Amino acid sequence: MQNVLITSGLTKIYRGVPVVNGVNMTIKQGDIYGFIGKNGSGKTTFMRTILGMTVQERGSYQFFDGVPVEEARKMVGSLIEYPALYKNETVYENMKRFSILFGSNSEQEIFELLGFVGLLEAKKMKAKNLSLGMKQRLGIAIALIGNPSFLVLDEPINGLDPAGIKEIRDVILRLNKELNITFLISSHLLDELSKIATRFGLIDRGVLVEEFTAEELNRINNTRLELVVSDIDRALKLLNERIPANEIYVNEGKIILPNFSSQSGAINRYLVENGVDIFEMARPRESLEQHFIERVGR
Amino acid sequence: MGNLIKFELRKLYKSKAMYIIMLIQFLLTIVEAFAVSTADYLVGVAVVDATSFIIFAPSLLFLQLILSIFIPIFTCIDYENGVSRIIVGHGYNRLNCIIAKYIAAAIATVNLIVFDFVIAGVSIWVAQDKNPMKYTAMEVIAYILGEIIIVIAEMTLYYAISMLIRKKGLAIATCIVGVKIFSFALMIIESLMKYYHTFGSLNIDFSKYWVTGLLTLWTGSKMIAGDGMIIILLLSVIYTIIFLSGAIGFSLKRDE
Repeated sequence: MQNVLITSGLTKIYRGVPVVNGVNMTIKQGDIYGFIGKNGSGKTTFMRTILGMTVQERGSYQFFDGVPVEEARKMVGSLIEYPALYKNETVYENMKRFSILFGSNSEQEIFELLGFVGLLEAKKMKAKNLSLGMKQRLGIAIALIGNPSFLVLDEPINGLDPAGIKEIRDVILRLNKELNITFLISSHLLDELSKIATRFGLIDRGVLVEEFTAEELNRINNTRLELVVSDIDRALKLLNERIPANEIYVNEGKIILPNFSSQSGAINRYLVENGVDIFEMARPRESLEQHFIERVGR
Repeated sequence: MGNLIKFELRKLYKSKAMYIIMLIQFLLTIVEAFAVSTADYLVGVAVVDATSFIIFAPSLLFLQLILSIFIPIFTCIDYENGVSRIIVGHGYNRLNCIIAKYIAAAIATVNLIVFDFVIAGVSIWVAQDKNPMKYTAMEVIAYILGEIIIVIAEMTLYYAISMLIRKKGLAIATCIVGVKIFSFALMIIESLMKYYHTFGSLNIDFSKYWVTGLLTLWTGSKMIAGDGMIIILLLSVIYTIIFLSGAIGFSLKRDE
């Protein structure tokens, strides 16, 4: 399977602070890669760097297993921060200009894309009069001009109402399924992202903390153990004698053991025999949001 | 590069601002042509015949002021609305972007100045100015070609300012007020240097050779006498190169 994007040690520094710090990321063809992080964690800067809008201090990236970057970028569409539109021009005129710019200049393609994102009826409306959801859809339509193989979308569902979110989600899933377009999407709306993404990358303070697939997230759910105990400090001290520290988390007064649900009996016995009462022991399904909070904090 | 230029030209010819400017200039020319044909003086400038009216058209129609507003609007819009990110993100290199935008700005400038000459010529012919022609046809053509070169130099200054600032409002203010302040500062420096005899007994007026003063110098020069017209044209070319290099320098390494 082709690697659409590989980054190696990618680092971008602003005023002495590494905003993107040594990121190694791989996105394969057909992935919908959900890029998750807090505000200011480096998601947008990472996307701007791979798109050439800013130049990295260290590291490298390549598209499509080594296609020259300027050629590769012709196969990449993007929507970064906000849709870039000519506000006093119509929907059609916006599409026409970008169609000329991207070398496509096909009337058929313009109307097909507008139809695909549900803006055909609005083609004569000025961009400044569009709702936020319509502007986002127009931004996606522009990103799709020229049949890109890879779309980089920065917060595409920000500020949308539930109907608008569903529209964008459906567009993304259709494009991925019907045209095999690969996506890199950042979003704060983790539940929404978890509905469409096939792989996830967690970034915190510029560092890519963890990458996992949707299947791996599901597997975590099957091995996760949560404990509510009488003396959390004593329990942690006891558990640390048997379990590596990086496999124990504490969240909202609960001890979380991501990979030890199969040993719940032994853990229960061990703690009770050493004077720690167990008030609650459970194997809950961990949402993406919970996983994110545990890994990078609130 | 071809697609970039087509894109910039599409933006230019779909720009309402350019057509509004041309309409205003058209109306102004008609009024001025009829005034000239019935009066010897117009707006403080001795315009006494049809050939002079054509040569002075850009000044009479405030072309320099118009360019100081239009060029920032045309140049800065892509930076303000984020389109420049899309262009770079799609693989176009920054140098090509700068050159394509400059070519479109230059075409807009030539469009406007040629339009000024044409409507001036038509208007004064319709107004049936009867005064004897001051210049021959060849002289008029030579003046016109020189004016185009000079106005391109001034446009390039406004382009460089716009590429540096990238915000419409501030760029317009700098092109109008900032450039005037700079011209004024040059005059003050020149006066001080003369006062303190920096050049000895030589009387050097360098402030009038600043780019915004070249058009006045050119149209006020006498072609037969030469009058330093080669120097004016040479300066225009040098200014164009310097300002375009500045525009490239401001933008080449900048984040989008």
